[in-house]
Amino acid sequence: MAKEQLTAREAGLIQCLDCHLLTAKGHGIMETHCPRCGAKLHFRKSTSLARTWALLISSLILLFPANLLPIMTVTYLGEKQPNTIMDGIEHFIQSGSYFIALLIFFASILVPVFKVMGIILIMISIQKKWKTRLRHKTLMFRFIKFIGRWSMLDIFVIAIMVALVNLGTLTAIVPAPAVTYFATVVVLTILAANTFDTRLIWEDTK
Amino acid sequence: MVTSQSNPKTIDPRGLIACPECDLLIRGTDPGPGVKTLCPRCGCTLFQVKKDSIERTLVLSLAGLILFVPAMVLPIMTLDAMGIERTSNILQGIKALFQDGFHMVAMVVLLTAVIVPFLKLLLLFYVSVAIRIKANLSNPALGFRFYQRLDEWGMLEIYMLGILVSITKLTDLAHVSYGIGLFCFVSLLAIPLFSSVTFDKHQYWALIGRSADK
Ligand SMILES: [Zn+2]
Ligand SMILES: [Zn+2]
Repeated sequence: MAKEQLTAREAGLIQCLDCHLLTAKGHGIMETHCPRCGAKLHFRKSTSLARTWALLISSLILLFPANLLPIMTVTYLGEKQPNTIMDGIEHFIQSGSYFIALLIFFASILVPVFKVMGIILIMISIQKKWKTRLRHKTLMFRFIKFIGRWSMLDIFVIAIMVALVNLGTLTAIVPAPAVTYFATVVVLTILAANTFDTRLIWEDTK
Repeated sequence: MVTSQSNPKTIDPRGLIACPECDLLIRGTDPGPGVKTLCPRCGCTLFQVKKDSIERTLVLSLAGLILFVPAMVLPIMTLDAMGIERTSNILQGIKALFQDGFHMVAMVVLLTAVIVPFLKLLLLFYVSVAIRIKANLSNPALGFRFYQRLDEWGMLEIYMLGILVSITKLTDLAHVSYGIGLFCFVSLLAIPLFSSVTFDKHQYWALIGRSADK
């Protein structure tokens, strides 16, 4: 078992994150490219923590306008009504579509918040060197990465409704400012999950 | 001609693999087709050997390319309210966002629902042809790397869920009917679903590496 605990880095091997080929680190060479696919090789993703922090803090700030400002303006029979994400969910509850209400609540509110908080928690635990529950943290990150993209749901719903519900000045749906903030949050959190290197969770943990 | 059975040991000439999520070094085992190999430390899936991965992916990506244009251009659904009919497809939604001045959001939708899904199919087809039919196509490695990086930015399955939500939202407001575009769209969606069942990226890399050596 002792031999199995060796990591690629400790063995002097760099794993290519694109094609998973292992390459021995040459002496004195600052930068190496993968001999199979040509990608740049690093033992760990470069400046992973700093980049991930920057992206997460930006997302955290933008989450406020994304949730508090109206995401679309619904005009029904001449009556204009700005709608936030939460208003949209309330509409679904009132019309009895509980499943859709739950779906939008998950995709638009719970997932982005959970994603930002979850990665922040993992990063604090790395920087404070809390070496417990490593497998749980890896599993949580894997889950965050998997569900993160689904937050795009509300953006797509708006894109569909805006084109479809356009019946003159009396009845129309028009996007409102929060849609830009929300789309930015989704893109930034996906980028944050990409710049984060899960191998940092397992660094020096023997 | 390269045989369709690839040895998972070709992941590395020394028979070693490293876990992409925790960097643990593992001796490459030799599982049969369909067997999943998990990392003993963090539990991530290391590889899963699949049968005829490249042939199937080649055919599926070609089918996807053929279905792509009708799925984007034909009407997905029609709204009938107060005597006015409105049809909609993906491109019209993007155009409406542009016209309302939400350029950044329109670009995000254009990339995730149109450009990236199309590029993914095209790259997968190109790399599969380069490996299987062995035309002297240049740089399959770069193509496949690009495909892997783009992968999560293609969001057609999420768009499909968006269609379902919109239908539910609009049925109390007006009469909604479905267009032929929706059927093309659903078939297009089924393709990545099938190809992820038969898709084996390590087999691709092993074969790309082998042809690069020659
Ligand atoms: Zn590589
Ligand atoms: Zn692992």
